[in-house]
Order: sequence, then C-alpha cells, then structure tokens
Amino acid sequence: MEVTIELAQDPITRPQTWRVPVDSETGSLVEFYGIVRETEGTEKISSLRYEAYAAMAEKVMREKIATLEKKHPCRAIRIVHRLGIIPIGENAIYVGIQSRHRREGFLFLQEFMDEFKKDVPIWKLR
Amino acid sequence: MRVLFFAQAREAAGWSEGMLALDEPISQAQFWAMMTPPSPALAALQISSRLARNGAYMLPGEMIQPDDEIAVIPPVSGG
Repeated sequence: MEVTIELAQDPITRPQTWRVPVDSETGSLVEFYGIVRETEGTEKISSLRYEAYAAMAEKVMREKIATLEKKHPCRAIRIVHRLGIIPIGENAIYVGIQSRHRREGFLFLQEFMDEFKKDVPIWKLR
Repeated sequence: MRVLFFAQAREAAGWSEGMLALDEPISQAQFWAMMTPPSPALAALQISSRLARNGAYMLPGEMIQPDDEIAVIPPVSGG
C-alpha cells in the first residue's frame, strides 16, 4: 500500500490533487476533509491552532495503517494535516484512500479516523 | 533524558523541552514524581496524560533509561 503523510503549515486545498488512480486495479477513491467549525464546544471561535509531535505522529499513523491494511486491504492512502493557525471554514485534515472496491475504502477511512483521534499526537488549541 | 511537553502539558509545565541527567533507569511513577512538584497544574494533567518513550507510547512497567527522549502527551485532539 502506498502511504503519503504530510504535516505542514500550508493550507489544504480542496480538491486535493494526487495520483488517482494509483494503479489500474484501483476502482474507488474515498476522501475526507476535516474542517474547522465556528463553534468549539460552546464557544465561538475564529480559528484553531494545531500542534504536533511530528515524528511520533507520523510513526503512529504508519503503525495504524499497517494494522488496518491487514483488515481492509487498500492500494494507497494520502494524509495531510495542517499545523499552526487554521481559520474557520478551512481544512485541518485530508485523508484520501484508494482501493479496489468502495467497501474496504469506507471501512479503512472510518477506522483510521477513529484510531487517529485516540492516539496520534496532534492537538488543537484555542 | 530529554523531556518534551506538548500542548496543555507544555502550558502547565511552563517549558517545552529540556535535559535532565539521570544516573540510572527510573520508573514512570518516578518520572512524574520528579516533574509535578514544581508544577501543580501538571500534576492535575497526569491522570489524563500518557508518556511516550523515543516516539512510542510507554507500556505499564516500562522503565525510562538515561538517554531516552520522554514526551508528555496530554489527550490528543487532531483531525
């Protein structure tokens, strides 16, 4: 499975452009954009600030991907997480997954994000 | 031992990174006992935070070696 991970200060553009399809057996692209909302808890905000323990964040993501790949074989994943100050309406994260069929792509994405939220050392701060 | 604090743990500790000399391995409990007296706010975060040793979450009973990098990881919230 081809894995690309980027942690960067730059805005995450919509749509993301990457090599799709990654090969001739790819039949599905499932994408997720996480967007900064106007309310955080009960508080109105204008932006959030994200920080990461970057080396560990990438390592944990690769471990999660390796585990999930055994359950839901996919062909490629691209993850981009923006760091620094992100205004409302802009993307904090992009995850794209290419697979043979849609089912493993949806399952992979759902489970990856659940694991990401538990263990990847990235924080949002007001 | 190199120590890193992130996010709320950094704000509680008042510093982000530093070196502490260790003569011998210490337990995770000993690590917290060294860190929290100067920072009551960090003590409050201890229960919800995890320690990472050289970029991996520490397991119960795992010891800290003198040349390790230890990160204090408060609850994560990325994505």
